[in-house]
Amino acid sequence: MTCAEFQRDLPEIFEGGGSLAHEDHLRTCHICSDLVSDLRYIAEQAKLLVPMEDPSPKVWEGITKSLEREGLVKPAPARRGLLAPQRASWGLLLSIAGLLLFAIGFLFFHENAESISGQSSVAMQPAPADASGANADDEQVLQQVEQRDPGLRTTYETNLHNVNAYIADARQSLAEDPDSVEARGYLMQAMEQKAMLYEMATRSGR
Amino acid sequence: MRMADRVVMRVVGKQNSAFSMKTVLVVLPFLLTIAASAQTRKTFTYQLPPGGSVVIENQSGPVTVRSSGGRQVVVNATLHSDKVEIEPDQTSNRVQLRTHLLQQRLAGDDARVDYEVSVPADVSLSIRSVNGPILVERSLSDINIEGDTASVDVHDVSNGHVHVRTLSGPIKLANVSNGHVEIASVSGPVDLRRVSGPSVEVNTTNGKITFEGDCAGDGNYVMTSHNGDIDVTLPATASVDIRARSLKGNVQNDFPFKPKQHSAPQATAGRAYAGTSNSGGSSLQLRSFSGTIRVKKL
Repeated sequence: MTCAEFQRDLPEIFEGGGSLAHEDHLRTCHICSDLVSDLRYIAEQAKLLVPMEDPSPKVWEGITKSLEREGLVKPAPARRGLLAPQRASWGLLLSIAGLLLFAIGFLFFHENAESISGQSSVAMQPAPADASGANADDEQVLQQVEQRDPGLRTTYETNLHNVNAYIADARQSLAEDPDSVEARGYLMQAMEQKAMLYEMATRSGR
Repeated sequence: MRMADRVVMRVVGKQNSAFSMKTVLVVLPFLLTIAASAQTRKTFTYQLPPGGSVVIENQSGPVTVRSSGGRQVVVNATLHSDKVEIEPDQTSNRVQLRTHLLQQRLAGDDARVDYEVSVPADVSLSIRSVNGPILVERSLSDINIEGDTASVDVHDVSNGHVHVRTLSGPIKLANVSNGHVEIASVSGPVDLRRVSGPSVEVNTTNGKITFEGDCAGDGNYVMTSHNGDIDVTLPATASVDIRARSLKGNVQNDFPFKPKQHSAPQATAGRAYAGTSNSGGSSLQLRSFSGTIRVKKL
């Protein structure tokens, strides 16, 4: 099993545990093994969050669109259990958001590191970003912060800008040296920082 | 007209009124009384078994938690307006106090609640505050703190997991021993003094990281930043195996390590350093994308 095949099956692996072939690949591939460890860590941390009120429908809509855009879920009712806001917990939402962020970072890495089949690379384009690295999700998060506390928006905006700059630097570094474990480490750290920022922005609104 | 009276008139902006210092002195106590009456003090008392937990969620206003003897949790809360209330809740081994805003978009004193809490030393703490400072001292259990712009000060704690996250709030830890420490902040400065344990990890984007201590415990110490500087000061007795590298910045070392000849990270001169001191018991990894890393002797 190749890394690309393994990564295509990631959603199923997280939902169902994966097959023997997946386990064999995990044992022999430190890249995928590291990725799965990081994703599990984020998911576990998110689950530790205390139960909270459901976010606004706009947030669900935005995350659903992002997941669909990344090709991590199919549109509409295929995953009704996973994305139904009425039944999903805030922790699950954050798990998904964390997974999404890490997936974007990792997939971007692999676009540079190795060739993935044409179908996959089309389906897994990163969210469109402007020159500063900000994207539509950032704006949505900022709007949510502003709605709650207008005075906090500037703080979040500044910090988002900083984190996006971190991500951009790490990506650039990785593009220059696709085999660099160090550059990949920075990208993961930057993504963790952004995931933390998103989580804090959405948790505060109670 | 006396100088004091002129000052009062200038401040009040009523040059022609009969306002005088005497008037101010008479009215002031009433004003203070009215202001004070907007504050409400509440006390909550609970019993918690060993292994219990205390959760506090606040918007604005300081949260101060100190450990005490016995099994009692005592919460003294001061509400600074009638637009906030406290939602207390207790299960068998968990006490939760949550500030509830009765209106949206409250700020300043309207949203402020001050918490003074004493807890048994062995209960775990989970504290969240948007912008009120958080202070925790003398704990012997796990501590989980999150603040947006809130400053966080944790000291004299041991034997627990200490997890702190802020967006831009400064973080200070002092006298933390045998702890699993995880600190993350986007832009808040992180200051660690005499913090040691099996695992100490700090991540920032552009917050400066300052560490002063001996890295005891044969632990793993990892500090990472994007462009925040990392300053580490070690005593001569520190037993560490250090690897420092700034991808685009500089590494400056003034500590008398024994340099490693063969295992230094590949780097441009001045951007990486590897060495050991004493028996090299603890691993100390300092990584910055473009910040400056400085290591010096205490």
